Amino acid sequence: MDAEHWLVPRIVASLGNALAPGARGEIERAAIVAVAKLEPRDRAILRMMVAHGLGSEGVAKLVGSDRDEAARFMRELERRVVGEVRGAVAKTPIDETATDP
Amino acid sequence: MSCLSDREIAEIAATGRADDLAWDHIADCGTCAGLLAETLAPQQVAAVHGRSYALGAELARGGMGRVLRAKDEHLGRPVAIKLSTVGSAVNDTRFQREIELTARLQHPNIIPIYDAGELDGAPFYAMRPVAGQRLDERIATATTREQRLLLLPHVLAVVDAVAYAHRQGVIHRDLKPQNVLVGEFGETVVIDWGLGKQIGEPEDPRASVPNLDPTKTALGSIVGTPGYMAPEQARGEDTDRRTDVYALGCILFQTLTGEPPRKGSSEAAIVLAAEGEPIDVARRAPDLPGDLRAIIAKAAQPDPAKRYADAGELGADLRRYQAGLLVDAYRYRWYQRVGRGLRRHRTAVAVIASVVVSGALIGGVAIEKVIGERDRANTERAAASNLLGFLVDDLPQKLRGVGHLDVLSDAAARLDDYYTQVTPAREDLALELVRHAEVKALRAGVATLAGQTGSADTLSATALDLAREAERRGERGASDVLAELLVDRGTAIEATDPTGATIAFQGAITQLAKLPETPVRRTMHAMAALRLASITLAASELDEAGAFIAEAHKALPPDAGNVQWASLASSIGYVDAQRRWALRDLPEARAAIEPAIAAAKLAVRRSPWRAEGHQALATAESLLGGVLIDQGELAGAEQALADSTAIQRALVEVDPDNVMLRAELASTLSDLANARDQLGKGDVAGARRESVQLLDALVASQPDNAGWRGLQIRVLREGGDVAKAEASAKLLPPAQRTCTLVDIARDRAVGAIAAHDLATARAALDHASRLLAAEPAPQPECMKFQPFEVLIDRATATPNQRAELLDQARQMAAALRAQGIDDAIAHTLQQKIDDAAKSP
Repeated sequence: MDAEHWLVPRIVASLGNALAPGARGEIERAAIVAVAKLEPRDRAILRMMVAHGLGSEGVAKLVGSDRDEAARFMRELERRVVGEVRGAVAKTPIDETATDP
Repeated sequence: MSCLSDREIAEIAATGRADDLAWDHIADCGTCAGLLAETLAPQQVAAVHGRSYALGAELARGGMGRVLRAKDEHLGRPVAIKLSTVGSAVNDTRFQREIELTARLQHPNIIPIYDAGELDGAPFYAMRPVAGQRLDERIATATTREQRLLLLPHVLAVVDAVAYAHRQGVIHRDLKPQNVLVGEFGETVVIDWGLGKQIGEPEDPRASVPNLDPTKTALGSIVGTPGYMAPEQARGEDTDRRTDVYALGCILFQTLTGEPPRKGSSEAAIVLAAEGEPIDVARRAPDLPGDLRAIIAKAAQPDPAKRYADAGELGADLRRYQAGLLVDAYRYRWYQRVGRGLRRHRTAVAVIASVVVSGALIGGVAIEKVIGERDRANTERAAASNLLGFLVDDLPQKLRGVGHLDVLSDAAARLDDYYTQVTPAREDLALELVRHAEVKALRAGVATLAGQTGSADTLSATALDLAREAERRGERGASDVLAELLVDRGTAIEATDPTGATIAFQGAITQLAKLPETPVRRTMHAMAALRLASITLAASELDEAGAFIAEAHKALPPDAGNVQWASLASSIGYVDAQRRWALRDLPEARAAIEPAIAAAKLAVRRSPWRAEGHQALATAESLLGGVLIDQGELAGAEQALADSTAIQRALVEVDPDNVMLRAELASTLSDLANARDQLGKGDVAGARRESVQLLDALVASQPDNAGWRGLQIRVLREGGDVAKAEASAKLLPPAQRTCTLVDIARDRAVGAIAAHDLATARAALDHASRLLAAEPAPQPECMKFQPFEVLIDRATATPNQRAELLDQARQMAAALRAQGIDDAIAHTLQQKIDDAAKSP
């Protein structure tokens, strides 16, 4: 699993300026753990969502649902991974000079 | 698990079903995940002025628009499409300016635009897709200083691109890591020129409030991105080249430290910038080398007058740092001067290696490593060898595909310097000779594509000498390399020295015959035989050409499923069809061209992103057009030639340094003009004018290239510009000069006969007769028939001498028949005499 190549940069970019330099390693570890907990299909879907812009219409075809249900599925998937990473980040020191959360 | 096939991807997209192994693979493989995501994305086909694009997944979204993956349905190549999303007059103007500025800037590190127009009322442009990551994403994954130093070549590539834009009088005004893409081949491209400005133009009109994200582009009164804005930009004052220099300093800072230069909210960043708060490089990056800190500090000075004047100056100082020289911006202590001198010589191969992947000149990672002298030599040799493998095997195609012949040329020249200077151990000498030979051959190949036939000749001769010496010293593998180099040499000199090329190709076949047969050797044999067929065909030795075509067919190994096989198979079919065409066997020529087109299409399907399949298809379509014109199927000919032209235009666009492609495009355009002329519809003048312009430029760049000059003369004659054709023909080599001048005189005469101006016709034909009579050694094939043709024409132009002239023509035809000319040609000669006898 090479989550450090496709997932971590996006998460780091989204948390961006608020991160202390030491937090990156923590994010990387947390992201790899969080992604490894997913089922293979969900891992593949997450990668396509994050790295290739797969939208709800595409996900609906894969999970056999309508678009609304697929959108809910996508939010849940993201919540599980990003939530876990954010939890890990919260435990690491944040740069005090940052004003943008 | 290996990658999924197209069929498996399609099946997963249709059913949503796959086993865990396949899902695991998709999660791990960017290529398969990308393909599946693309297949799943809603397909929309958009047609724009005759070209259609299948729109795919969204790749990125920014302040002014979104970027979609797409496929150019006509050329079958992937593109990226940027669609404007903010429908306001100001934004449309900026989007239009982005298109104009980007299209004007032709640089390897600036994304090339393929097409532009409107899609459903929204402005769009199509550009080369860059698969890879943004620089900020690369910075985010570089967690150590060494990893970050490895990104320096990308920053220098950005500086080079901006320096080029500055020389063109253009500034970017929104430089930031998010606007830099690092492609999968290591290429670096600067995107998003929407806020760009021609220096001297007025600033944007003031509008609303800036964007609140310090990393996003503000579309308001203050244009740019707060975290990277120069003070004068944040204050809404006039901007110039130094504004970009400031942003480049910020990018350099972020690359080397991993942190953006300004943190916090957009307002805070703008206020800090506007107040001229300097970036405290010494405090925030204390572990950076002092000279790098000095470069950043000078670039990001709040006062524009204290910065580098433009990106070119900044780039020069960065290069000085990388080369171990003294940096202008930094004050050195004596021991630092000595240290830099020592380190300078340790980075030689790192310098070479980085140029390949970045198009830049630097490689900072080795700077602080202390290694023993012997280990260093071994490391350098291994690095050079690996690099050479990369350069020789795969990279040329990739770089050609993305239009980077210059990078390849530069890298090969540096590698050549390395092998010239290195003194290998005795036991390694033969192997090093082979490697050096390969580097020389690579340079010869690049020179051939760039039309530099003189240097290609010299380089390939040196390569052969090196390989022969290696073979003499008993190096295993030297024989194969020698055969390959002989094929390369033949190809390099084919245009200027067909006899030398024939010897080289024959030599390659002899060399291969000494070795056991393998698919690779059979491929090489087929290539050599194919080139020989082409040379003999050009000399009208049609029987010999037929034998070589049969030899190429026989040597061609079974289909290995790769693009090279399909391209070679297509080329063999192409030359076969050319020969049948020369024999005037039009149905057979047409039958032979069909498999050539099918094989070219197979090559395109196998590797749509590589140029060779497209090139084979364009050439085959062009030949089909020529055959169809002769068969009188003008509509089909026009279609085939128009298709070929479109592909060739795209190839010229992606590989602008390749002059061979330009020459082919010129030839096809001329055929297209002829087809349209005969059809009586379509833009005849435009196609002919473009063809002449291309050829004028080629001939001006290499006046001694007889092939290009011959093509230019043909196109000028077809366009009726006889005077210019004659002036150019006088500069041809003696072997072609007389035949061409006689042809031109006949053009004049035929035109005059058609206009019933028999006096002018007679004068032109007398001139042709004198030219023929003055030819001391009538060797060329044309000399055999020219006197006959001129006699017939004179008979038509001179009614009172017709009987006498036709009698001479009959005698000459009988003499030609006695020499054993082909029955079909004999029949044609007789027909011409009969027609002339009947004319009023």
